[in-house]
Amino acid sequence: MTPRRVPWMVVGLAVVVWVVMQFGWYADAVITDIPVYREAGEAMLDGRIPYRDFSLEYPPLAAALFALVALVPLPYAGVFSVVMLLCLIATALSALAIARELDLGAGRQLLAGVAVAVSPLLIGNLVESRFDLLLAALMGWMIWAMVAGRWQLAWTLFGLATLAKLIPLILAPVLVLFQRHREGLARALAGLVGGVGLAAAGVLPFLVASPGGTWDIARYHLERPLQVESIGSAYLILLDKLADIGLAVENSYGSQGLSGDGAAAIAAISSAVLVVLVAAVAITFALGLRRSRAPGDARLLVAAVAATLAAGLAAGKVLSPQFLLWLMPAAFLIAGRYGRAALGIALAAFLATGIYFPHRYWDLVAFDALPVVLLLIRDALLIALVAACWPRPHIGERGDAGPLGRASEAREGRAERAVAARYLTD
Amino acid sequence: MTPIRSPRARALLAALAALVGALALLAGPAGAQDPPPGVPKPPKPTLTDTKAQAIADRDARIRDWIASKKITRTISELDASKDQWTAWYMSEDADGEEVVEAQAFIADDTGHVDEVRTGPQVAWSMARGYEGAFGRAYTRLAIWLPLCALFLVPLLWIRRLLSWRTLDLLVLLSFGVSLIWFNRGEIFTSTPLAYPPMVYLAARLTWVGLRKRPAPAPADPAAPPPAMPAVPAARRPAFIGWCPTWLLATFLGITLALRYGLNAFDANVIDVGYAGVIGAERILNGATPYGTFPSDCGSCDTYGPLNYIAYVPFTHFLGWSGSWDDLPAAHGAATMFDVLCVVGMLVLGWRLSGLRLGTALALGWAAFPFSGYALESNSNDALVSAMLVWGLVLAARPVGRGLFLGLAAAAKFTPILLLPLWLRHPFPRGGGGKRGPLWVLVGVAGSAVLTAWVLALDGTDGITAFYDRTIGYQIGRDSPFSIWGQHPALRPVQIALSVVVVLAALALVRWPRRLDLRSMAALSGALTIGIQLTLTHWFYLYIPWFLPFALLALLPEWPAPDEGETAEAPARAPASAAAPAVAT
Repeated sequence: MTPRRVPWMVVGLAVVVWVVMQFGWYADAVITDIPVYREAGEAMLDGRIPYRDFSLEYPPLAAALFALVALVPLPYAGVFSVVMLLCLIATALSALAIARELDLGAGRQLLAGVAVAVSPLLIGNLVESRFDLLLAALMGWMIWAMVAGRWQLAWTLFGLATLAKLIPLILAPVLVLFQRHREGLARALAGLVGGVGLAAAGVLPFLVASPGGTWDIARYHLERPLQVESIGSAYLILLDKLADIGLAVENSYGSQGLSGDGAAAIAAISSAVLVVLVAAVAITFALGLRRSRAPGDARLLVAAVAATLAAGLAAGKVLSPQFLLWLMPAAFLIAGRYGRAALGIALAAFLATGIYFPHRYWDLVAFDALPVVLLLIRDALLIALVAACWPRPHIGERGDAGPLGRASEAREGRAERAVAARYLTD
Repeated sequence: MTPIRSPRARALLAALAALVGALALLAGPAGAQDPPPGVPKPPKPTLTDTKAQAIADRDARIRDWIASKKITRTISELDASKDQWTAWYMSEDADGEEVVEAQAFIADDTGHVDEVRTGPQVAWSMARGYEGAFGRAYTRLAIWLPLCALFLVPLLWIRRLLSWRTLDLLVLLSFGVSLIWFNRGEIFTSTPLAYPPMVYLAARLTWVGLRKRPAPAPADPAAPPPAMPAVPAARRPAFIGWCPTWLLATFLGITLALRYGLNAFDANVIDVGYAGVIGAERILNGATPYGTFPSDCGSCDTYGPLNYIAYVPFTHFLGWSGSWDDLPAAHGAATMFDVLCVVGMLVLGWRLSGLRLGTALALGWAAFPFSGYALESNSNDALVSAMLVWGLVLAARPVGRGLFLGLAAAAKFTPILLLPLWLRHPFPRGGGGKRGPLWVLVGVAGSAVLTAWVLALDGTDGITAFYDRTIGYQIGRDSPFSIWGQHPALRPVQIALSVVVVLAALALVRWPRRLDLRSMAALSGALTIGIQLTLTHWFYLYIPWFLPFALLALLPEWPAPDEGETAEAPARAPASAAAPAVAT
């Protein structure tokens, strides 16, 4: 297949996948957020202002999306589904574009694009009933803009992604470090200010209209309890299965969470771990950048972004199934020894999620054994994904431009033998 | 009240009662507990003392126990607050004093025998096999067996499955066999079963510590020079096994998450942990712990001063309600002791050989079910282990070695028997100097200064109380948790064995001639087990005391001694040779 046809093939595959999802297993069970989106969209079309006239947990760009979909005089769910298909296509194309910038081989480019396109078959129909593919597309093209050196575009997309969901904020350290490596600290900080400023500008009108209502977006997420699918919850559920520690589920904040002092303590620990992990990824990334040149540094950036996002999922107190979509495309494009492992782990996590959600979700809330085991497997895979995506310095070293991982593998093998030899001669 | 004599009235009342009863049943179990007003309650008590005694006499466990005893008296008493009868079976000892041989607890309502206590179970609640009395859910098979697997499988050497290491690991786990019977309350089976693994480990560690390992053969001067320079043998111990380091670390993370999670959400605090909190509270109030304990933990002031000092920060910050409740301070302290052990094992292995051995040793501690048993019981035993582990970490530094040995002895006294051995420098190439033992003693004295001030809080009364409540109490202690306690006729053997252990401890000050870190760890472990073998009161919580020694001596592959190495070279070691990573 010629390189020019690859994007078309990936687009076609995404469309076919979307059609397949309208039937059988995928259409059987639905737990959807569409009614919330439609209600918000219609309210905005009626002239009501979000955060002031009605509460909304999502930032302004998401609100704008809901309103735009409501403008189309067709069934809301159908239009929303088509928009998400377009976002999936955009994400898949961003994967191809990033892979090309990273000098990955043709096979690996194709693999990444195909993985994004078929991911809905693994994770299920939540892709068309949540708007997280919009975030995946924005972050995908943001990464591409970064590695391609299009800084203004990158920070603009960073600001827009932050306006869709707040999670891209945790990427700020690695993005700044990367631009500082290539362009210097001043430009990096200017870019950050621009990106954050764009996000702030998007929020400002609503903040003026209703300071309290807008602040509720942040408060909503800060006050949420430990969501039942988070790794902290999985840990407590495991302890409950083993030792009957006694857990209670509460329905609040649009999801199911664990209540009680234990859950609150685990939520606090999770948040602390998240901060430590994000800092550790940034430090490792900064150390790796010292001895890396293009395109190695870009590979390192992709790994750092993926590791940060995976850490955000692993240590977050809320882990809704659609959050896994944020891992695309970065986790599918890791270079180095563990690149393929990262891709495989990410896809396996998608699959494990798709098996229990939505078909067995309520069994999970009831702590039935099978969905609990699936959840534990999925969450263990996410922890493994953090390790597999970790921005090891070898990913970005010079001369690592051969077939993906080969050169670095050989060098690492030599390094390991050298260490062994040093022990022998001690 | 006038009795109802009319048969019709009685029948009407019975029908009414049946109707109300049926309604009550429909209303659910809560309604079934309390008959409504007007319905006659069964007269209380339902049973008589004779009936209760007869029910107890029919119980097979009671019959089995008293069959060989001369029962001189039986009594049945009703505890009205619990609606429960207690049937007592008494005999007389040689002095003519009454001894309770058995008790049966019978529900007055149903006549069901709720509980039977025989022999030592009467006086010792820990002998009754209450579920979860130690560590709550920790001893469930769903937790215990995976932990055994996490301990055994990663640490095996698959290519040498038939090896000492496999046997050593299995023997360490075999204490669990004894625990099965302990958990059933059958201590006359469980207690003897604890001795074979202890005897094996004592013998194995003695052999490891005393054997003369062959040095590499000297090169034959007549032989032609090799084409390539020979690769010298590894100079460090190494953990050899199938399990890659990242997987060892993963297993370590899993075991730590499991044990600390269970401790936070499920574990209980036994009297040993309670003792630490009470003692810490006493110290915080400026009083000595000794002789001032409340009645619900009257003998709990029997530990060394460090045991109470170590709980002070946790009691200060986490508080104590004044009763034996959840005791968060005890949870915090036990967790900290365990963390000190895990980190100590990690550092010990890391400094000896690198991250791999460190991770393996830390996993060996964390996954070993009996170290978790101590943690989930929130006892103070890991404090002793922690001090001994850090003594090993600082083994190359006499002051540090002595300080931590002294601290271990200041928690529970028995480690002091290791002093003659620990006076020696366990690095044959590193010397240690003639003043080494003196510096060890300085370290021990330092530990005494750091801890003994607690005794002086009440002046000389505190010192007197300290002796009475600790050494005095332990000397006169009786217990069914040893073969010596169960079979008093073996007391001469116990005394003889104690003498042998003390003499062996003293002999180690000069023998064996060559002492390296492995032999020091092995002999320390053997001595610790030797002490435990002689104890009148032994329990599974003591296993962690010798676990670090056993893991260090038995888990890694240790290099053969250097050619021409001398025993305790008198010269001061050069800086490089004194580096603690050099183990031989």
